[in-house]
Amino acid sequence: MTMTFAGAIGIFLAGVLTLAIFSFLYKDNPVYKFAEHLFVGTSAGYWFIYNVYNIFVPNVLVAWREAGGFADYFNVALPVLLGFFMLMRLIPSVSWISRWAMAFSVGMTVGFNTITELQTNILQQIGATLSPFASLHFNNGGLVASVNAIIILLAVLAALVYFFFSKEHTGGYGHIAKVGIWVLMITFGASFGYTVMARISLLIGRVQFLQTDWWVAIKHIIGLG
Amino acid sequence: MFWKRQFPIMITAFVAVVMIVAYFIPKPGFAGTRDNLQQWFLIVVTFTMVLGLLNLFFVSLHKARKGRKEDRFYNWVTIVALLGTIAAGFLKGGINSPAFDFIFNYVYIPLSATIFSLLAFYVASASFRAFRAKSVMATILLITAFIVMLGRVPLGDWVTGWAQGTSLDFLYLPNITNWIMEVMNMAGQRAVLMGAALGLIATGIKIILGIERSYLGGE
Amino acid sequence: MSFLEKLDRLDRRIIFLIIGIAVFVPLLFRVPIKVVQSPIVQDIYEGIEALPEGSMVLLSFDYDPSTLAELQPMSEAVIKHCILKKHRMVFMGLWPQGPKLAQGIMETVAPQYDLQYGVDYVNLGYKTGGMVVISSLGSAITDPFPTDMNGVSLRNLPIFDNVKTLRDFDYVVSMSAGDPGIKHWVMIAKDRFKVPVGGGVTAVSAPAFYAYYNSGQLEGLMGGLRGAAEYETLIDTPGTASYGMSAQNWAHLMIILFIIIGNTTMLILKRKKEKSRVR
Repeated sequence: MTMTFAGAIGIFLAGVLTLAIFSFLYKDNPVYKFAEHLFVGTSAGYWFIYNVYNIFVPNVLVAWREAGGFADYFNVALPVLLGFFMLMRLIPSVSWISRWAMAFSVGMTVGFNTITELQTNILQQIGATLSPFASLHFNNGGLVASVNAIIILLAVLAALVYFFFSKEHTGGYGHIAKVGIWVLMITFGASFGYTVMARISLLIGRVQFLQTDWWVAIKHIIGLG
Repeated sequence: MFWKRQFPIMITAFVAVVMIVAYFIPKPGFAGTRDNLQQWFLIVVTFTMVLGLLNLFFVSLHKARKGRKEDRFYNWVTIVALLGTIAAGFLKGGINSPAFDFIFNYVYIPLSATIFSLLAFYVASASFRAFRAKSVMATILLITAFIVMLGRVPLGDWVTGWAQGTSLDFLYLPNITNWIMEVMNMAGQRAVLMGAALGLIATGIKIILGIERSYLGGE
Repeated sequence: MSFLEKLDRLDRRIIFLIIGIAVFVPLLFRVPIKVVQSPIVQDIYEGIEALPEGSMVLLSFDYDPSTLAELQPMSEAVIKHCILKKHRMVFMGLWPQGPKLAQGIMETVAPQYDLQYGVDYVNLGYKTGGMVVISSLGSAITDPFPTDMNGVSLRNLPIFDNVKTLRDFDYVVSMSAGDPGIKHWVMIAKDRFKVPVGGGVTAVSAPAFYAYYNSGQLEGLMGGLRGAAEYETLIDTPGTASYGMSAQNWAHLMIILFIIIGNTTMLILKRKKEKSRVR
């Protein structure tokens, strides 16, 4: 794609802002602070605009305009009213009204979570831990999978024992809990390795931007590209 | 008092129970109510975003006018950026207007991406100063991290590639990493997942029964 | 002050500089690296590969620019794969920035492959509410999304002629940086509506999703830049992730060296202290 002059200026600005943020690595400074506050402002503004165009307009204004009966009007008016109740939080004397909207949101979240957590994170996980035992076989083809299934069962149980604090971690129970800690340490080690990978990747992204797009934009602006 | 305290608890319990019942009885009556509640939720939560935005605006405005002198300018930057972005969004074209696109592509994206990329430097600094193998547990954690870090980059393949496909295949780092991730890590994560889910369900039941009411705030 | 003591109190800016160089220099050479496939990435590739031509794929962009470096290459790779397989794509986002990032990719890709908006692909935009939005899609797509992101009614978009609810999709791909995200797609789209779910996540959160992969709730998963590089290798289109792997290599090596040096210094200084105390 060919680069326009406005595009080149934009990319140049993006590069300058990137370096402004990186300047914090040397020490905190006004340029960094400026960029940081600019980020907060643009981010909040972006959220607002997207909520307006992607939710308020289609789900409130258009829905109201196209409403065909009392039920349709009610289904727009009531949540909007609840929404305004939510905003009452900003006015101390009537902020208690916001509790109604908050109560509705919490009720929805609880109603959803209770069932889905049970289904997805408990029943399905227990099923997945136990179901391989229906077809365990220790011949050449299934040896590794079977051994892994046994390891997984024991490791899950040990880690769960560790999480159960209602019984003191002593004796045989304590030994199982200790194995549980080892399992969790390996888990956290894997997470740590992946976290390092993630952080480095983010830096790679910015360096790639500076080395390619920004460099091309600079050459374009000074007439070399 | 009823409207301030009991009524919100009743709303929560009613809505939560309807959602749970509707899951088990997908008949039009319940499913219709559930669909309506879902629609309402979408709009109510949007107002929460607006609440956050207004809060940011007023806090920044207060700090810009009455906060520490050296910080006032930066709070004006936040306010101008906020209002500027909103204004750009209301220009002709809305979310596709050139001004809004410009702000998103050349201001918001680089700032957001770069702020989080700073973490790479801090993880490096922490690895030098803080990640110490002071106990057996910490050593297990670090060794696992070493294997995963090497096994997930081409280096692991280059260094142990000789073992691949031989009787020493189990020494091939990407294979060891896959095993750690799919067996040991998976088992630990599953236990964490189940534990967290049990906690969430217990909290949910306490909320429905009105025992847990901290979400309503003080008074 | 001995060398070890100096090392122990090394200015963190020197560490910053070293890690910066470890990333900057390898990227100068711009060498794409083909990486070894892991089963978890292979599975999502094969899931999309196995879908018949013209299948409906829902791509949810549940991330913002802070994780752009990791997730955007994945999105680009999956989109290219879907285009090559002639699947129809519906974009949306549980994060407000997502649809705009999807739009950015399509502005480049759609003209290249001569794709028609509303027929081959569509961008529904963003809705707040996470899990509830997904559940709402299960009742009717028009419930949460009466229009696309530009305000066009779904009735006027031919891609939705035979697609009315979430169940009518053949595959859901969620590119997820957190909450709401792929976890909720698994909970609702897969577990409730039985639609296959795969996707990509940041490396930070990837280990947590192996439990869903093992249980079959998640078809496959790309974790971080490495996952994206694997997918790029699979579709034989090296992109930013494959080019980034060389820097990832050296940076990981540096981090490991930092940990070893830090620990060795600590041990030697501790022994020295103990010895001087005994004397």
